[in-house]
Amino acid sequence: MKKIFIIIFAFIFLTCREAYISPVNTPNLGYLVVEGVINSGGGNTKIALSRTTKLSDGTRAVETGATVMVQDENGNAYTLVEVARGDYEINNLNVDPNQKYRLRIVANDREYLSDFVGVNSNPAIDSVAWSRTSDGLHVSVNTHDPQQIAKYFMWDYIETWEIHSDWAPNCKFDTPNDPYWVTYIDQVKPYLRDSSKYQCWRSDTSRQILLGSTIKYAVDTISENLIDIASGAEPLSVLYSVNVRQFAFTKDAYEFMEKMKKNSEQLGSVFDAQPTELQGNIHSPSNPSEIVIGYVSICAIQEKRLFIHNEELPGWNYNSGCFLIQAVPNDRDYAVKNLYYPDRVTPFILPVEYRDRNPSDPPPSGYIINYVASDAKCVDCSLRGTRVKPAFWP
Amino acid sequence: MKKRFRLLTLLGILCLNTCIAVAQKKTPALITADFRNASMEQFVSELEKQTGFRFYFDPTTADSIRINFSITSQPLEKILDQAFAGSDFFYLVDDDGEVYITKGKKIGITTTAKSSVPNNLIKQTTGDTIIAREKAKAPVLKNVQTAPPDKIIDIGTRNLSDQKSNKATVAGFVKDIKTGEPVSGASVSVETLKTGVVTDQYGYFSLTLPKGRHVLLIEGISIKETTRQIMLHGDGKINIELESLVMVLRNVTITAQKLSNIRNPQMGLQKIDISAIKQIPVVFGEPDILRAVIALPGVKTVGEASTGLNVRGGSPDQNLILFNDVTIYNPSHFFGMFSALNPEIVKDVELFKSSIPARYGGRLSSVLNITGREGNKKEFSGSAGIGVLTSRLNIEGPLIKDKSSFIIGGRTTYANWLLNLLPDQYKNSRASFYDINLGITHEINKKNNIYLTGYISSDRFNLNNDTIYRYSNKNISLKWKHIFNNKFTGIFIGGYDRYEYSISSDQSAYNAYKLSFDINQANFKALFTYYLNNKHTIEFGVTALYYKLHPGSYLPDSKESIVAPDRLSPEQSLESAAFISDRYTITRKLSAEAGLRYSMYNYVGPQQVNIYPAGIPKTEENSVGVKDYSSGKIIQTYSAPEIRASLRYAFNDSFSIKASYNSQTQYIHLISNTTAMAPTDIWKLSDPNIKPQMGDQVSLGLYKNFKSNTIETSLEVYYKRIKDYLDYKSGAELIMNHHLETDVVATKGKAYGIEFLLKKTSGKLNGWISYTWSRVFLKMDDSTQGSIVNKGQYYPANYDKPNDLTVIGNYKINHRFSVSLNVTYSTGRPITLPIGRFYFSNGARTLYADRNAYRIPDYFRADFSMNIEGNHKIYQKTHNSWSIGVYNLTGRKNAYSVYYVSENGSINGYKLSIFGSAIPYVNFNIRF
Repeated sequence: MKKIFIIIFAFIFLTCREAYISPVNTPNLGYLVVEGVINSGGGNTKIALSRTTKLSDGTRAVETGATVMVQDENGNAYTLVEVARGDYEINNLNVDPNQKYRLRIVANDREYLSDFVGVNSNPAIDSVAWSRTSDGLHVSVNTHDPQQIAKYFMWDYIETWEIHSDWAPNCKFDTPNDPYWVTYIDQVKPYLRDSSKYQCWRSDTSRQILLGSTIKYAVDTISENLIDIASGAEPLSVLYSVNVRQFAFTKDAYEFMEKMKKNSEQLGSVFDAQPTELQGNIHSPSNPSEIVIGYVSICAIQEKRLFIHNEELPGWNYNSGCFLIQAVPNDRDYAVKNLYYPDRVTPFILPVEYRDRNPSDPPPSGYIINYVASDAKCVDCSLRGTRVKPAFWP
Repeated sequence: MKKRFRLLTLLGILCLNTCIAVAQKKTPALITADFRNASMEQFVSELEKQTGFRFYFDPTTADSIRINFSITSQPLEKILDQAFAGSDFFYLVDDDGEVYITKGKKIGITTTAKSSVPNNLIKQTTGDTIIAREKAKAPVLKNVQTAPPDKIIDIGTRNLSDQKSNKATVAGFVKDIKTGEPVSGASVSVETLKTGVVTDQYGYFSLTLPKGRHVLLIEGISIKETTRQIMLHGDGKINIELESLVMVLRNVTITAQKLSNIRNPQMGLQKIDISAIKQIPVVFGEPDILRAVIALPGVKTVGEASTGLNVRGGSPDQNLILFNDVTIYNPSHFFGMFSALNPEIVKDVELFKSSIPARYGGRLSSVLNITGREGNKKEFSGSAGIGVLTSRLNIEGPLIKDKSSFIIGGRTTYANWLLNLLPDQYKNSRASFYDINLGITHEINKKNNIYLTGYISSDRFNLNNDTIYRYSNKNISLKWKHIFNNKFTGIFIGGYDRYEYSISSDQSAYNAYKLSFDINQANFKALFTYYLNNKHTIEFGVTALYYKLHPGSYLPDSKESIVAPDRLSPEQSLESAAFISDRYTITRKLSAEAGLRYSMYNYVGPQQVNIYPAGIPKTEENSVGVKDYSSGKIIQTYSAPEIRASLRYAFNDSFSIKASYNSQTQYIHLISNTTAMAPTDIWKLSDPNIKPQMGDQVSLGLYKNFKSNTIETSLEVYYKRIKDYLDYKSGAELIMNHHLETDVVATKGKAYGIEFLLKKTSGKLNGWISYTWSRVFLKMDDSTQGSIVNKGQYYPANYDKPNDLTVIGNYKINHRFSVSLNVTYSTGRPITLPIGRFYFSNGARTLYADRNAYRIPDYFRADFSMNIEGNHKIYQKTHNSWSIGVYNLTGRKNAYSVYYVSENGSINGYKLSIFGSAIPYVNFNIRF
C-alpha cells in the first residue's frame, strides 16, 4: 500500500490545467516492449511484443514474426506460437517450481534474453467482493498468504456485462433490398418483434496498473479496491461480471511496475516525483545499453470471477437516455436526406414500431405510412456490444 | 570574566525626548561698560554679570579678538554688533537668555525650547569647554522633539594619571527615541577623521578615537541624520536616541545599505527592511518575506507553490534560515503558498549568499538572517490586519519602562471558505494554520541584556476528512549579551528547535495509520567580538548543535488496523564548530575580512549501521551486515576547515570592488525527489554511508553608487563547486526507508552566474531591478554508486533557470498613497519529458530517458498594488492603512509543471498552473 504516501494534495482550488502538446519532436526509438507473465499454474502463458513509438503516434506497434521461447537452466526450451499479431502464447507450460527460467526472444534479427527468474508463490484469491456506497459500486480483491511468502501483487481484470436494447422493433429498414424503406419484420405476422438485437454483451479491461503490497502490514492479508462504478451506470443495468487475475511479483518486478505506474499515472500534483527511466530484466546481449522495456516474472496466475445482478442493487436506476421519435414519415427521400449518416449506409435512427399503416391494404403487401423510431443504439445493441454470448455467461 | 574593568562614568545621558520647556522671552537689561583690550572671556563675563544671560563660545577660537570700546545704556545686540564688527565672529541670542558666539559661521536657531543644560558641562568659565551649537551639520529642525545633539558630552573621566594612551574607546547603543528599539546598520562616524563603524543588530557600536573633541555623525536610511558632540577623556559609553523619519511611522526601519554596500567588505549581502517587503504586491495580499527574498538577484524558486529558495544554484535545504538565531526548518504555510514568518514582527532580513560570516555554518548556499523587532520599551502599541485568507494581531509594550519590553504576534487563517467553493469531491477539505511569535527583551543593566525568542508555526490540512497532513515548527532561544568592556562584547545563546510532521489516515479502520517524522536540535553558541582598534574587529566563538532526529515511524492508528508498526531508529549527532575572523581595515580604501571556521561532526550511537563493501553500489543485496553501536558511542566523525575570506578596495566613496572565497560543509540533508519541497520530505543526518556535502565559491563584485548614494548598482559573478550533493536513483523510495543510502547517489555540482542589481533606495520612485544569468549542473558519473545518470554527463538541476529578471517599483504619489508594480520573468525550469510511448497493461505509457532534458514554458508575471495610509497625523489613537492589489495582473497561466499521464488508456499532456487568472486582494491594517 505504498500509494498512501503519494501526495494527491490539491491546490486544485487554485490550480488550472490545460492541454499541452510538447513542441519537442521525438525520434521513433523503437525499443522492444515485452509484456506478460510466465504462467506456472497450468493455463495459458501469453507474451505480447511491441515497440515504442513516437510520443505523437497513437497506435500500438506490434512486433510480429519474432521467436519467443521459455528456457530453463538446463537448456530445455519451449517455443511460444504467435496466435495473433504480436501475441505469443503457449498452453500448460510444465514449470518446475525449483527451477529458474528465462525468456529468449529473437526479434528483427536481434536476440534478447531475460535474467533467469524463479517461480513466485502466488496464493489463491480469497474473494472478489463488492460493496455499495452512495456514489456507486466498488469491487475489491481480497487475498492472504498463509505461508507469508507473497508480498507483492499485481492484478488485472476483464469486465463483462449484459446490455439490453430499449426496444425490440416490429419494423425495420428493408436492408439490403431497399434501405430507405421501412417494412415489417415479419410481413405475415406484423405484430412480431425482433429480439435478436435485444441482448448483447460488452466488455472492458483494466487500464491502470493495479498494484498492492503487504510489506507495511503485520499480516500477509491484502484488500485492494480495483473498480469503481458510478451509480446508475450501464454495466449493472442487467448482469455484470468481472474476472480478476492476480500475479505475484518479486520486489524488483513490483518496483518496475510501480515506476511505470508513477511515470504514467501519478503525475500532475504539485509535489510530483520526477519521472524516471525504466530498467527491467531483459537485455540485448549484443548491445547491453539498448533499452528493453519489460520485466519477466513467473507465477501461477490466479483468477476469480464475480457476478452481480441488477436485482441485487435496488434503486440502481440505470437510464439509457433513449427516447422515442413519434411519427417519422416512411418516405424514401426523407430517409435519404434526414436519417442516414453521410455514408448513406448507416442510419442513425432505427424504426421501433409502425404507427399508421395504409388501412386499405393490410400486410403483407400493405405499407407503413409512418413509424416510431429511436436512436440506432437504443434499438440495436450490437452497435454497443457483441451478440455472442460469452461461454461463462449463466 | 572578572569584573576588573572599571565602571566608567557615563556623563550626559540625555533626557532628550519630551522635556518641553515653557519658555518666556527674556529681555536683557541695558548695558554700560568700558572695554580696554578686553579678551573674549573678560568681555563675556562682564556682559553675563550685567544681563544675567549665559554666553557660549569656543575659547580656542576666541583668542584672536580684543575688544576696545565703551558704551552707555545700550541693548545687548547693539554691543555685540559693535564688538564683532569687521571680525568673522557671529552671535545668536535665543529666547532663553543664551548667547552663542561662533567664529566663521553664522548659526540659526529656531528651536523654541531646550532641555536644561548641566552647568558643569558647558559653563564657559571652566575654560576648556566650548560652545555647544554647531548647526552647520545638522539641519535646522523645527520639530520641538528634536533630541538636542548640541551639547558636549564628556566621555570618560579626566584622569590625568592615565595619559599612557592618547586614544580611547567610545561605545554604546543607538536606539529609536519613540520605541526604544535598537537601530542596526546605522553608521556612526567622525567625518574629520574619516573613520566610522556600523551598529550591529543590537544597535551596538564601538569606536576608538583620539582623545579630545569629536563630532559623531549618526546616519542611515530612514533616520534623521544626527550629530553628537563628545569630549573624549577616556573609555566611556554614550547611548544615542534618535528619531526615524516620520513618513510611515513604524513601517520604516533603518538600513545602512547605502553606506555599507560600498564600504562593507562583505559581498553578496542583501538586506531588505520590512517596509520594502510590505510594498511588494503578493498573492492574497499577505506581505511575504520569502517572496521578497526571491525577488533578489541570485535567488530563485521552482514555482509558485514553493517558498523554497534556490540561492546561487543551491537547493532549498542549503539555506540556513534563522529567525533571531533559531533555525526554522520549514518556513512555509499551506505547503509553500505563504511564508510562515509574520511580517509584523520582523524588522529586517539579511541574505548572505557569497561571503558568509564565519559565525554561521552548516549550510552550503546561504544564510537568511531574519531579525525580529524588539518590543516598544516606552509605551503599549499594537497592530492588527485583516486579509483575504489570514488575520493577524500583534501587541508590544514595556514590561518595565525603558528596561524591558515584549512583543507578541500571531496569525491565523480562515481559508476554509475558499475550500467550500470547491467542486463537491473536495468540499470536506479543511485547511488551517497559525503562527505565534514572542520576543522579550530585558536590559539588566548597561552591560547585560537578555533576549528571549519563541516561535511556533503549525499547519493542518485534510482532503475530504481522509488523510490529514500536519506539520509544525517550534523554537525557543535565550540570548544574553554581555559587554565586558567597550572593546569586548559577548553573546551567549542557548536554544531548542523542533520541526515535525505527520500524515494520518483513518478512512478505513482496517488500514488506519499515522506516519510521523521529527527533528530536534539543541544548540549553544558563544560569540565574542573584540574591537581591537579601528583597524581590527575580531570575532570568535564556539557553537555546538546536538541533533536528535526521528527519521520516521509508521504506526497503526486504530485498534482494528493491521498496519505493522514500523519505526526507524532515531539518529543523533553533534555538530560543533569554532571560528575566528578578523575584519581588518588596512587603509581607508582597502579592507579585508578573513575567517576560519573549523567544524566537526560526530554521528553518535545507539545506532545500527548497514555495512557495504567499498567500490560497489550500495544496494540491499550488496549489504554485508549490520553493525550495532551502543549509546553514546561515536560512530563516525567528519570534520572540515571552512575558509571565509573577502577583500574590498574602494576607489572612492561611491565605487568599490570586492572579491571573496568561501567554503562550507553541510552535515544534514533534505531528502526529497520532488521538485518543490513536499510535506513528506525528511531530513537525514550524515552517517557512515552518507557523506556531508561540501561546497566552495569564489566571487567577484563591482559596486558603484550614483546620485549621492541614492542609486546603487552592483555586478557580481560567482563560480561554485558542490561535492556529495544527494540526488536520487530512479524510482527511489525515500520514506520509511531502513537503508536510505541504497536509494540516493552523491553527485557533483557546479554553478556559475552573473548578477546585476540596480537599486534606488529613496525618493518618490524607489525599488530595484535585478537580473541574473546563472546555470547549475549536477553530474553522477561514478558507476560504483549504481547506474550513472544521463550517461555521466552534467545535467541541469531542477532549479536551473538561466535568465531571471525582476523589477520592483514603488512610487509614492504622496505620503498617504503609493503604488507598486512588480514584474518577473524567468526561463522555465528543466523538466523530464517523455521521448516516446508504448503500450503496457492495456494502456499507453510514456517512455522517459535523460533527466531534465527539456524545459517548461517561460515564466512571466506582473503584480500591482496600491497602499493607502489612512491618516497622516502622528498623534491619534489608531493609524490604519489599506492595501489593494492584483496578483498576476495579466492573468497569464504560468506553467508550474508540464506532464503526461495515461488516462483511460491514452496519453494526454497537460500544463499545470498554480494561478490561472489574475487574483485581486484587499488587506486592512490597523495600528494602535
